[in-house]
Amino acid sequence: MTARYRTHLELGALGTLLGAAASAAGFTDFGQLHRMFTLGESRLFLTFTGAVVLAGIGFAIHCRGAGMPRRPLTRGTIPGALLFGAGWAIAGACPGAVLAQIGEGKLAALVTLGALLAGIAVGNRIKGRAGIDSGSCGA
Amino acid sequence: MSGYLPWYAGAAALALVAVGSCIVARRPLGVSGILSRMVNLRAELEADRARAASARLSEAELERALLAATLEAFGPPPPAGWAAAATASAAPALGCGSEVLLPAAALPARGGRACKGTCASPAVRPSVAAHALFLAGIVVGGFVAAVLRGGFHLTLDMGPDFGRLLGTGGRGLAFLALGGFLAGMGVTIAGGCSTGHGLSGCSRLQPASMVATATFLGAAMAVSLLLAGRLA
Amino acid sequence: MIATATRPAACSHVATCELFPKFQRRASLKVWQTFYCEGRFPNCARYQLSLEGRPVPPNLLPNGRELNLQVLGL
Repeated sequence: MTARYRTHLELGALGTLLGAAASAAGFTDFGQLHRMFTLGESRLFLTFTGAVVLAGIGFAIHCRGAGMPRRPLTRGTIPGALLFGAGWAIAGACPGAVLAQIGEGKLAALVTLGALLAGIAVGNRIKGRAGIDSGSCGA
Repeated sequence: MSGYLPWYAGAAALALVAVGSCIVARRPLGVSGILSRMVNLRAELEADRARAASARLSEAELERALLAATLEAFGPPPPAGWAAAATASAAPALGCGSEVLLPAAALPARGGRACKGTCASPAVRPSVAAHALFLAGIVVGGFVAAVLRGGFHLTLDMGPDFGRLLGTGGRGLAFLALGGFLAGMGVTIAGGCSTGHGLSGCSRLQPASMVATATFLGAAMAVSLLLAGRLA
Repeated sequence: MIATATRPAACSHVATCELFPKFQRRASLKVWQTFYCEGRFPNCARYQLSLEGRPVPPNLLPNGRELNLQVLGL
């Protein structure tokens, strides 16, 4: 198998695992998210925190303290996060979750996705005009 | 509990994907950046084509082109070589014809040595097609998980809580559009989403990610409480 | 073993920039690094494109010129 197709396979598999994990955990369920955000139920919050901790341990073991390219803290970090948090609460719209929702058959998520892409386009314009660093020259 | 994974299982699954992304695919896990590539599709495909073309070059050919460009941009190097003139640091004074090839090294992360074998080493940028497969994979993953728990239904419904708080039909769709739009703007301006900043960034203790995550969780909580309060 | 530049680069994108590693291969190419990456990185055409979320062509030089592959007869 050429190296070219290896990347396709790796990324396809990775995406599938991510979608499955997010869906199985309940990040695609508005009700579940809402209960987390209103502090009504701790399961999803523990899932998220647990994932961060476990991944942190995994990285610590694998990298033994060595670093990773740093995402810069920019003028856009906080305003952007505020906007994203608001959108997430209203539409259950975390980019990964929206795609998983479509897979689950929630066709209304197609609207969310369309709006997400429009928001990204507008966000890019704002970012460019304000000179906000994205952290890298590409994805 | 509606067929969802207990917290430790969900946590393990997500952590596995995050770490696996770095070890196997050698890139940090993140969705918003990949999704935003699809917004500038034509330009991205063009960049991909250029990338493929220069990948066919040999090292020597690439260096020749770079040296020609350097000459054009900066003029001929001073007698002692650019290395001596431009940098005050370790590189020895070199004549134009006798310069030494510096060893290609994995780029050090800021403030420390690079973690070789994971996403700190610069990997070749995946093509649009490969990234599109990633996104398609997420859809497939959602399908698989839904089917396995018996929850796959083709529906325009986003659940009873959504309907109760935000509305159904056209009104509900309008709120989905609003939320999606805000989220899209937000992830672009912040430079990451719940996966990129939240999962990948926080687990690596990146300051920017921790700030972003605390902020978006806070905002989500505030808005959710506001929504819930309207009915109380 | 010849040491690579010990000065930390000023541009936050160096770790992921497709062009940066290419400047490290030869001492004569380091002038780009010194002038742009470690200096006037806001003037870098690649950096400017990335601010708008636009894709950065792999052969775009910091001065806005594209690497001339025609020099090689390609």
